[in-house]
Parts: sequence; C-alpha cells; structure tokens
Amino acid sequence: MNLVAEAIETSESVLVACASHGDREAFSELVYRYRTGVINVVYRLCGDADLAEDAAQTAFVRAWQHLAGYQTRASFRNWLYRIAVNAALDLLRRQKPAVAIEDLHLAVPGDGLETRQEARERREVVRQAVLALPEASRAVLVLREYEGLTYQEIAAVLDIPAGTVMSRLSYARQRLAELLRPYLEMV
Amino acid sequence: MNEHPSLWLDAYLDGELPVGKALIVEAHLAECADCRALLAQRRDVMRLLQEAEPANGLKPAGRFVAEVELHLSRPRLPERRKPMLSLLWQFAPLALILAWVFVMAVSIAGTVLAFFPDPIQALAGSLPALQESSHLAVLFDSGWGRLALEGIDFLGPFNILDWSWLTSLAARAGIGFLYLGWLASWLASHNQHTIIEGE
Repeated sequence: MNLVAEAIETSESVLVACASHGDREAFSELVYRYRTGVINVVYRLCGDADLAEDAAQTAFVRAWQHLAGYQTRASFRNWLYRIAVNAALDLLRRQKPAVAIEDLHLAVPGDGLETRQEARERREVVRQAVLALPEASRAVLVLREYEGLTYQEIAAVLDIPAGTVMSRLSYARQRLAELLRPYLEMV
Repeated sequence: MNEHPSLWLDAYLDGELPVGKALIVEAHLAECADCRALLAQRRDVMRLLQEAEPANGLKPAGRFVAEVELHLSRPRLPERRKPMLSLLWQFAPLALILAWVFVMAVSIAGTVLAFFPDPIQALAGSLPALQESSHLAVLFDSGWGRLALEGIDFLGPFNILDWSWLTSLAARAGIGFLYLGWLASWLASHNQHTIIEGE
C-alpha cells in the first residue's frame, strides 16, 4: 500500500504522521508544500537567495531528524518556521555582521514619475533597511509582515512572550519609518 | 487617555488588541492628531514592506526536494521504553566490577588456602574462637557444610576454587574486556546524543 498515494489528498497531519514513521515520500510532500515559505523566511532574514536555499534545506533536514520531537498540538508550519529561523540565525552568525544602520546609504528618490528602475531601487532600499534591523526585531517583523503569523504564533515560533512580540514589532516599524522617511513621503 | 498608546498602535493596526484596549485606542485616535499621523505612517511602512520581492532565481521545486532527500537519513523514532533492559544496561558495569572483585578475592583466597593440606580444617583451626563457640565451626564439621563445600567439585572446570592462576587471569581479562566494551558503546551513544542536541 502506497501511503503517499492515500495521504496526498488528506490533511497535513497524516503526512506528518507518515513522515515521523520514516516515510520519505510523505516528508518530501511536506517539503514541497512548505518550501517557498521556509525559503522566504530565511531569505528575508539573511538577504541572500542562494544562502537562503541552503539554510532552508538544512532546516528541512533538521526537521526530518527531529520529527520524533514534534508535538502534534503545535502547527507543523510554525514548528518548521522555528527551525528555519534558527537555521537563518546560525547562518547570520557565521556570515559577516549584518548591515549597520549607520552604514546604510539610502538613495534619495527622484522627483516626478517613478520609473521601473526607481521602483526596483526602492525595493532594494527596503530590503536593505530590513536587513539593518537587529536580528530579534527582524525575525518578528518577517514572520508578521511576510508570513502573516499572529502574535501568538510568532511568540510560539520564537519562544518569547506575546508582549515582547508587540514591543519588537513596534520598534522594528518605528525604525523602518525613520530609515525610509524619504520614501514614505512618496507613498 | 492623556498618554499616547504608541505601543498599542501596532497591535491595533494588526487587529491583535483585545476589544477593550482597541476601544481605548480608537477613542484616543479620535482626539489625537499625532497618533493618527503615526498610524498612517505605520500603514505606509507596511505598504512599502509588501513591495519587497520574495527570493528570486530559486532552484526548481523538484530539484530542491531531491537535494533535501539526499540528506535524509532514517528519522529517530520515538524511543520505546524498555525498563528491564535499560536497568540491566545501567547495572552492567557495576555487576562486572563486582564479578572482577569476586574473582580476585577467590583467587587470592585460593592461593592462601593452597598452602594447607586440608583447607577447611585449617580455616576452622586458625580461628580458635570460631572453633570453640561459633556456629561456623559446627557448620564446617557438620555433614551439610562439608557436603556443600565438597559439592563444588561437581562443577568441574567451573569450580572457581580449582582454577589455576592462568584461568583466573583469563577470567579477569574477560571481565575487563566486557567492561571496556560496555564503556565504548556508552561513549559512542553519549557522543551521538551530544551531536544531535548540538545541531
């Protein structure tokens, strides 16, 4: 009996149960489902797509190795994100220090109609500004803004109180508002 | 509310504030132009963030999944409790040490007793107090005691009292070998756990 053939149309929990009993195909299906989300979480945290893919693969391998420790009460996606955030932070610690806010030279937006080039530059500036945030605040911001997690889910992923999520998110947005002031006036 | 609820504004914007606090923030916003401006600024920041592109130039999904599969080993299944085996495993080194001490003691005692023609009489005779009053002297002389001690002869090569120094040495070496085996497997198991926890 092919477990994957049956599980493919059923819920995530069935796939997780199969994977935790050694079914690689079930786990591959989970990797397929969550690949984009995990890569993007790592990418938003570290800012490099190639490194993000490597770290995401590391995160999936760790998840496979620790499936026995996964508690089905928690969301599998959030559990994966937790591993992915840790993989990204490990990566950042091995890499050179993140962009310092003092070193961030933001281009002043031009007047008149925005060209495609200017829009691209603006996206790059936003990306740099996010990378200039402290890791702790950046992780909260990424999980909220790009993955749409609730405060409680972020608290569970990062293992911090919900109040800390609120304060870190407030700090991150405030800091971004200061860094991106010229662009905010254009919005 | 006189103070600006700056910290609450983000939670209000995200719909994460409890109803009571949300009403307080709304009441404040109705009166405070600064906080309304701050809220608008926060909305703009969020809008800018949404413009940021996701990761580009990624590997095709199939290749990504295949690369992950290459690194998959067998997952660690939930450990099933084996209390008896686990207990025996814990006590194995203690049992081996005790066996080693026992063989050593018997070997030394056998060497000493070998100097006497009749070890049982010599043992009883060397302890006058025992011979006079103790129940042990009676035991040594009784038929049951003698039968028990002589019955050891039926053990043949397993009679530890008859072992030569070479057999005794081999027994101790065997026990030592078993102990080292246990130690090696324990170290290997301990290292594996440390590596996995350190990941």
